[in-house]
Amino acid sequence: MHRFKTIALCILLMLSCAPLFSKSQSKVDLRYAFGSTIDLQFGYSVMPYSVEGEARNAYGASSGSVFQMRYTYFFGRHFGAFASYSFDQGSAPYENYFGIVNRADGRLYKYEESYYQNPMRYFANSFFVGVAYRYDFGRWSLRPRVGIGVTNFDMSAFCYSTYSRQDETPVSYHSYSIISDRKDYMKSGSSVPDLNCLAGYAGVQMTYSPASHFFLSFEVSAKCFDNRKLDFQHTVKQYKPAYNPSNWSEALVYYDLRDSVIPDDSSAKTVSSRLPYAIFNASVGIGWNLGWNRNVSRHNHR
Amino acid sequence: MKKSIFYTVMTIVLMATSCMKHSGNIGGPVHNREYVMTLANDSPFHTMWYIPEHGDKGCDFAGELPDQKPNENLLISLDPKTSFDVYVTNDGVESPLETYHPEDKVVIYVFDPEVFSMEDWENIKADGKWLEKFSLTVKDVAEADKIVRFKR
Repeated sequence: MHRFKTIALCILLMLSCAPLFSKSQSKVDLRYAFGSTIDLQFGYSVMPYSVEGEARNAYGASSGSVFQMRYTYFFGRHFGAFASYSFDQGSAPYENYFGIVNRADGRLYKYEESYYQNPMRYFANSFFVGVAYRYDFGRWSLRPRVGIGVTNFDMSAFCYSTYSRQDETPVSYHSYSIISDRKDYMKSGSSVPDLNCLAGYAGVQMTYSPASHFFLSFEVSAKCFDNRKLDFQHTVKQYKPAYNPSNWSEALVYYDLRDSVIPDDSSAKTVSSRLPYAIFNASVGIGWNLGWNRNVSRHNHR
Repeated sequence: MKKSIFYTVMTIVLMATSCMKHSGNIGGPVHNREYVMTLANDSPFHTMWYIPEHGDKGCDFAGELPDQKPNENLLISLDPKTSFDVYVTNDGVESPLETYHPEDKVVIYVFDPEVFSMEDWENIKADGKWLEKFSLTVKDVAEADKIVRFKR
């Protein structure tokens, strides 16, 4: 909720500043929008995921923030090329995530997080190059882009426990881990959760220029990446009593453990699935039209 | 960097709390000389404590006194206002406590040394000539803070 407020505040601030910049400007086409452009954007990052439960598949989304820096060079009135860097990060709050798991399991259990790590926590550092198009109307400019690049994708392992709905007795222990087998010198199953993978980008940016060099922007975009080399493993273990004493002495020594349970390794069942592979963004930002502008120069000579 | 420090600290905390809670190897055999309970003679008399072995007897009869008078070496001798910490060992020698099943009741007899030495064993058994007879479950002992007290 705090994230939404921050973004809303940014938008409000930018919109409130726009008239100040525009007062001294005449309503002319965006001459300075040709040539070099840089922009910075900050916004909302969403990564959809699915949970395969005992009853069905259920769908949810991790969310967080994205920061993006981009350089674009417009060769002419419409076409250009860009290079960008962006950083996405996010996670699913416990209650939201277990709501999805609960739906997938057919509302059979109660849930408890086992560790300090939020579920479906992701990080993605992305570098893209690609082509840009622009269509200007007044002070507004619509700029779709497509690109290709590399994403360093990283997701954290997490785990949780399920409990009976009736009496809240422990039922099973679930752990999610991300495994890579791409290094032949690493022991199989060792966790190497990050991966540099091929990625694609598509987005549409809308800009508004209250001044010649400066513009405000809003963008919706999507990234997808080929992270199939990472194995998303879901392991389920049933709980068993922590200790089964064989005689009276042992029962007395370990009396404190009489109600304790531990995951039973012999009951472990592991299922592999595909990691989430797409991120959607909605961002706002600012930008500047910089440098030599051959189009304007040519125009002035006429 | 911050993430690594956080993981390290959390791991240490988890390991420390885990050790404090269990203080033993879960699922494995009882450690050598694992503390079980304390027998406390809170009386002003010298006493001798005896725990029959379970053996092949049925669980309901395991606490009964044997037919033959047990060797005095098998009894625990406690002076007035003293106590004895009972440990179990894993060296192949079973203590009487280890022959009982977890859900059994263990019977502990407290004798007057003079009566135990002088009286005929049959009379002791027939007339119940012991100072105290505890019949305890694991729960009883654990809830008494692992102390079995004889008071007079």
